[in-house]
Amino acid sequence: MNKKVLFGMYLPGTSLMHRLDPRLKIMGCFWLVILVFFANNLFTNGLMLIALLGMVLLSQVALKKYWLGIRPLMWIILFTAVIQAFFSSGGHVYWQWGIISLTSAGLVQVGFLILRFFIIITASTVVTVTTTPLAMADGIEALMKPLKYLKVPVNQIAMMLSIALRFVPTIMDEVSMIMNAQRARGMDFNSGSLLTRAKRLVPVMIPLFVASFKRAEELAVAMEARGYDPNQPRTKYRQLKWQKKDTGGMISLIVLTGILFLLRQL
Amino acid sequence: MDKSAVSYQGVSLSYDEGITWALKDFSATIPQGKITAIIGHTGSGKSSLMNLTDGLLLPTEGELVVMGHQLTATTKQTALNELRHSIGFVFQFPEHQLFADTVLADVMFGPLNLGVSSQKAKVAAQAALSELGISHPFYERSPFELSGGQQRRVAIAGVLAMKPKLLILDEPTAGLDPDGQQELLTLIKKLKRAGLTILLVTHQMEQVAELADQVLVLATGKLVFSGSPRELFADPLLLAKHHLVEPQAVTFAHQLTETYPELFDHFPITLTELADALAEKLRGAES
Repeated sequence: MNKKVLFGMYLPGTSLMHRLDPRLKIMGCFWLVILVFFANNLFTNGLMLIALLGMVLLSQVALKKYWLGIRPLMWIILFTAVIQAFFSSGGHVYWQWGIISLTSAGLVQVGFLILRFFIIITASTVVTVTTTPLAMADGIEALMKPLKYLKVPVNQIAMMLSIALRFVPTIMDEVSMIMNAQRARGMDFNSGSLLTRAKRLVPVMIPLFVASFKRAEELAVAMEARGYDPNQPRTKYRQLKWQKKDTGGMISLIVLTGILFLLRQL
Repeated sequence: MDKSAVSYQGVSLSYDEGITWALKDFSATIPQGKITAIIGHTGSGKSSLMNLTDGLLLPTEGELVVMGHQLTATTKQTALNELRHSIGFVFQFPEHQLFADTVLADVMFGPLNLGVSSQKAKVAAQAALSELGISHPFYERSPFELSGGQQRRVAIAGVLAMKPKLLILDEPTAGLDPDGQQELLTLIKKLKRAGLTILLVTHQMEQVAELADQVLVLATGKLVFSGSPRELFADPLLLAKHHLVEPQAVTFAHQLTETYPELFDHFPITLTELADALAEKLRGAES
């Protein structure tokens, strides 16, 4: 069971972060990711870390859960960091072999790189952990509204998006269930060459596709039976309302940006 | 003296490193050659327990011994593969695991994974299919063309073809029509007579009353009852506490004993037993 992967998974709660408007959370997350690249020294990075810590604490989700979410991505971060360390130049050279070298500037860059990865992943985890997939889809739909004037079918895209998001956990459960069923039939997923391992995915992928198509068809029938017409204008049951705390959140982000640009000058 | 096929010794399981527990300090034994029914509500830990028994999960704490293989938190993957050779696991809605081009190829998949020659695998597959009433004309059809009930039987054949000594059935009758259910129950009895140890996860108390030699009741990851079906159904308080519904025959018998406390020498739990007991009493009254 893939319950360990937190990245992209909602945890129910009633904290301030949970109650914020999804539009603010999505835009705020984008904004933080941009800000991370403006953080150029210890002070600015420290500021970002403090802001991040604040968000994590406000989400009232156990720190351990965040760590479980970051851990699977650790290898990607480390790999990138090692590449960065050996292939960047500048500053004092500690060790060199051909084009590969370990320099002080490289190490500083690696530090920043790991920090940036960490901040970006954790910030997006805060958003996904505190926002239901439906609220997320609503938020994205609201943010895409301007595209309607370019004749983009925003409604349909939003519907597809919410259906897709809705079925991610279902399909993940199904993958683990099918894998277990085939494992119980003597299938060994953990040995053999890359090619044999790839071949072994056939008994997993085929049932998965069959079930997915079946489910898609059932869903389509159920939607049509309830009178769904993609081309009709849609009203919403869940209205997104901008509240005082959302304005507060936005102001905090602006203040954060201001301080960051001040600290950049140091 | 019954030998135990599986014994659980203080098994605990957590999916999130100790924050919540799917199973907590579970100890029980499964006797060999018997049918043990596992009941409990959704989320009570039944599926986790079955996955542990098949080595699909390892216990976070404690240990279990399955068919002579000891499993703990640190058991190696290769040992688990060996363990699965003697266990058959029919998942809930097993028809979802079908994938091959033909029915026969799908049923042969299990035996082939065990390293059996394709000739022997074919023999085993045909034997299992005929056991489940899937006849020769179906062998070369695609499993996806079959009806739901036929798919279910092909999937079960796929597990039986591996000739397991311990068979785990997770709600095998869910979604089948009454005929299909009855056929399956008959098959389970037949498999027991052939010497298999059977673990049956079910929500239907009628099946428990009719089939099980032993019942384990789980609630929120803990064992709350272990004993014979007769003992379980004789305890209305326990049933009510865990929101279990007794078989209709038991309800009826209980209502009868309210008026005639001395009616049954041997309390009936299945419909057949109830009918026999009543018939005997009525005959006695006539003479």
